[in-house]
Amino acid sequence: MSHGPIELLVVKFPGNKFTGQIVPALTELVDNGTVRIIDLLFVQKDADGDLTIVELTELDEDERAALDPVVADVSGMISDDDALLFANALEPNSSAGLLLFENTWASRFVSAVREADGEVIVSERIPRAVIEELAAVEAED
Amino acid sequence: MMRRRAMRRRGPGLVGTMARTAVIAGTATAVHRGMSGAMDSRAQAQQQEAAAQEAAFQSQQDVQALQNQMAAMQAQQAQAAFAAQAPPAAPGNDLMAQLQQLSQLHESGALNDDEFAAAKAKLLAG
Repeated sequence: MSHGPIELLVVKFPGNKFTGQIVPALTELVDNGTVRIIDLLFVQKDADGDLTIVELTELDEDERAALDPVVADVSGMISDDDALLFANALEPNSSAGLLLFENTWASRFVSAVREADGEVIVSERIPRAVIEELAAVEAED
Repeated sequence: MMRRRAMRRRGPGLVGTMARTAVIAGTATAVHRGMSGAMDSRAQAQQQEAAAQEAAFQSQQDVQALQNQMAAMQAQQAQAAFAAQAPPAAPGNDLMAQLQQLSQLHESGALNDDEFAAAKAKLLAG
């Protein structure tokens, strides 16, 4: 097991279609070693607000066949509670994909840093809003 | 209502585990420690460089610039220390942060199960 930073992504889609167009982009990221998917599940909210959790194996045959080779592991680390927590924010007639993945590119970089006797002492994701604020300040100068 | 399916997803979950292990507080401490370490060694390097430059009779301007840099770095360091002391998850618009805080209150016993459930429902509905 490598040790890149792990990230959870929740992607919302209108209606009940999950993946279709995002699969090729995801496949590319996996194939070139940028990310490794370690858990994946989908949540649907119908018109009445009822929730259904859908596993990879329960997708339509086409979607499953496209996604299956991309997913390294369905670890189940994303719990029912996690899924329901995020699904609560969905509006009726929409769905979401929950994706837990490792940033494998970062793991390779960290290895290179270590081999060069370097040490990563800070690794933080900076919120987009912070960058926008800084860019605005710079634009004023 | 929720339909069941085959796979088990009964583990403690990401959100609960993050709240329990106080990942955020840990990160703040680690950042602070990392930053001070880096600052200390960099400040030391700067001091040595400044001394070397003085010895080499560099212009007074260069020394002044280095001293300004060091003062700026010390200010940054103080800020980093302050940030690390601040509460790790201050109330904000961030739903995750609020949920984590709520969960911490629940774990610490400040909220009982019913209060926690009600507050969580309110937060999620809001």
